[in-house]
Amino acid sequence: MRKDLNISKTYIFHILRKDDNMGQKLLLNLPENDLKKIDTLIKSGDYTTKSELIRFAIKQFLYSEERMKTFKEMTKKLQEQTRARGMTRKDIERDLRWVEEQSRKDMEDLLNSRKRASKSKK
Amino acid sequence: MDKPKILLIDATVLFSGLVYQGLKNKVLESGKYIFLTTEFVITELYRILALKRGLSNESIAKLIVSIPIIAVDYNFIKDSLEEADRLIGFRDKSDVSLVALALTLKKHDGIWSTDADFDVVRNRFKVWKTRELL
Repeated sequence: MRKDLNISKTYIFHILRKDDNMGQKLLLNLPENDLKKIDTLIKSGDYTTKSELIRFAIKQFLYSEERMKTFKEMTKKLQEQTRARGMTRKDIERDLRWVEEQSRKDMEDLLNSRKRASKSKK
Repeated sequence: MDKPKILLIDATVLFSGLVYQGLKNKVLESGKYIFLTTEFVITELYRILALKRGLSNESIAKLIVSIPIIAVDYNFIKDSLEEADRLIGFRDKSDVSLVALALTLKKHDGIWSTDADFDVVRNRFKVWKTRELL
């Protein structure tokens, strides 16, 4: 038992359902505090069982990992494009100034239209 | 000083973090923070990627969906727009939406920006520099 994690119980969870075609049991040690929070969520009716909650948590984690992988691939491509075009920080700042100018106009239009709407209500 | 958890992010930091391999990119990819922004900032990003970088709509959509950031829409911040305009609009109208988000959200840890225009709201919100987040 790892005291630093405050683990006092060991649970066996069915991480994957049998219909996932590769159901395996996983021995999982969890800190007592996390287990209490899990129990609270189950009592509140958000999840039926601990297994269901943990399966959901793992799917969420895998999704966010996949998303981060895509993000890193996409930014790498953009950075390669930056280098290939020989763009410097100044070039990037110039592009940003250009786009901010568009945004300024959009925001001015929006604020003016809100002013007009507010006046006509009065 | 405690590290922040929830940060509001402006277009300059976001775009630089995407196209330039540097400190901003490291912070974005660190997975340590929850980033929030507005649809106005995402529109800026879209414009620059489409019109200055020549990315297809499909590629932009793929990128935007993958960015670890939560974007709120106009309806979420609309009630704070006028106050935000009074605070920062005289410096730069393009920063109004992010300050409106900062005013609307009750719980956040400040704004991540390298833009000096945000100095005028430092008495209201913590404005983080990139190096402080590493």
